[in-house]
Amino acid sequence: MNRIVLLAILIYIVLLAGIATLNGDVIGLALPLVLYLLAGLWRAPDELNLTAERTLSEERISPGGIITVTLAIKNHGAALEQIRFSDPLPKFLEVIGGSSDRLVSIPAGGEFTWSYTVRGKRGSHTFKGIEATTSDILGLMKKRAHLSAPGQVLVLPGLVRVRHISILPRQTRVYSGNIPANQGGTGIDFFGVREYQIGDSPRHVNWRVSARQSNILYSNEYQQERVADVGIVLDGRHSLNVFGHDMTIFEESVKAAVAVSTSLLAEGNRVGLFVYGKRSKWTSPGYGKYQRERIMHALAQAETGEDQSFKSLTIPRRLFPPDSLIILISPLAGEDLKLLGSLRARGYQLLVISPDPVSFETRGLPQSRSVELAQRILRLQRETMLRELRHIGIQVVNWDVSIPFEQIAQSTLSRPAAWMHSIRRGVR
Amino acid sequence: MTRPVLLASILVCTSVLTATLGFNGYLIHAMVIALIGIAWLVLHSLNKMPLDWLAFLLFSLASLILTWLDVSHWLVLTCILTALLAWDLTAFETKLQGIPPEDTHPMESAHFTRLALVFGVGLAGIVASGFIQVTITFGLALILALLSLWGVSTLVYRLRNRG
Repeated sequence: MNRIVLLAILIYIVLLAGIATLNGDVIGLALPLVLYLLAGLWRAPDELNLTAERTLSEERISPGGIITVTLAIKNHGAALEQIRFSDPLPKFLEVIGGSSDRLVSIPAGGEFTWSYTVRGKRGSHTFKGIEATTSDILGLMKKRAHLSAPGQVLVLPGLVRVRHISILPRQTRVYSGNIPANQGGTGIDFFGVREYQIGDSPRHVNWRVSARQSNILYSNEYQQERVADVGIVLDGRHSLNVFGHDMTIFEESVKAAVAVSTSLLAEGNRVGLFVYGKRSKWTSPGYGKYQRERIMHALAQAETGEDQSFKSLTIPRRLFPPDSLIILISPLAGEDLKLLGSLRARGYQLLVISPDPVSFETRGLPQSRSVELAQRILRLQRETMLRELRHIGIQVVNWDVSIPFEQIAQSTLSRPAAWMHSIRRGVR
Repeated sequence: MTRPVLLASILVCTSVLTATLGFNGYLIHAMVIALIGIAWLVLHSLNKMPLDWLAFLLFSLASLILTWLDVSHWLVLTCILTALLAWDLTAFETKLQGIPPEDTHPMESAHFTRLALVFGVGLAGIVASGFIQVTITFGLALILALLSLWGVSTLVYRLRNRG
């Protein structure tokens, strides 16, 4: 209830009771209340006339890095007896020194500068401004203003280094890289022999084969190594990633996305990223360090959510033509089989890195017979689903997130699965 | 400093009202007041203060009723002042939440100085009214009272328009 109105009601009641009963003592009781109200009027704040400026010691940091935020407020109006400044911060930033809220008084024409330090987990935040609320000392009258003080902070995801991720896409690009293309040419690994052509190096002539033929020379061909188009799809569906008590497996998926994209870009591939979550967004494919920066930005901003139906996920053909490799990083749900099957049918080669939600969730639960039973049922369902995915030619990495991704990548992704060779050649 | 003073003011107000009503035979009323006071204290300790205004209003009205019982005027005044203090400090403490200690201490000093001024002038006025006697007719007293009502209305209107 409005404090001034409450006081006024009380003063009316006391005065009217005093008049009605002709009791001077009762009227006298209104005196402290009236004085309290007058004290509010005496130094009531005028219109706020403030400007603010924000300075950030860093604009982009790694997780755990520290940023000092300095705010300078200038009062161009009358003196302010009591003003509260509040700089709203997102959840991922934690104040470790100073305070983002201050309650101070500023003289007319005066300035107030303060700093606080924050430490952050992964995320991106655009500072829009400071909320200023001034009031008289007794807090009867309030005036609010929003002071513009823009700024942006980016806490990049933690870097996970994976030496090499072996992929065998059916289609490669024209530029040379590290991925064995299904074509003979210059390279290192033996691919086959062909008839000698003028210009072939004598060192490449296969004398043993040539000796068996009359008048024809044969040259060795080597497997060409090229770069490929790779699309990474990061699944941030809230229902799959977030469990009770704010436990989220999404951070593990982000780690995997960082590792995979960094490794593939370092090998010269053309990598794009699609984050499905609160704000679904494509980062168009590109090469090199600049693309790595773009992907890291997108991953820093990735949040779980349900933007649109995951079932309607489509891969833009102009970005990733069929035969491109799509890496889906997702805890997976049963209904995803249909989507993945249709992507496979459209010719995309799929690699699914699936952080295991069953082991992740059960680690946070108390051990009991019912939990154990539920875990066994869920694990069976998941195993069945993963088996079906493998059956339709999708490479699946089931990742127990208690094991670092580097180890998983080393053991399962550093060389292609044997059966991938046959898939690549179109043999089932 | 705010919290101890606030708790003390709720306790004093509740105790004085409960004791006075109880001694005057209004046992049920005294129990109701005691329950409201305990609820105010408990809700405050849980940082839930949505009905502090109601407690203030009820305590003030209960204090007003005491004037018709044969109770010392100073006891009634104590109840009104402590209720006002508790209500004021409840709002003030809410304002101080999330504020660093380096800001809290100067603001507490300023707030308590202003409160002391208000209560001091108020008490001085009440004491002075006991000594200074002005003889006026009933009609003039009524006009003055109505004028004060009009003054309060204007004050509230102005304050609300400015805020």
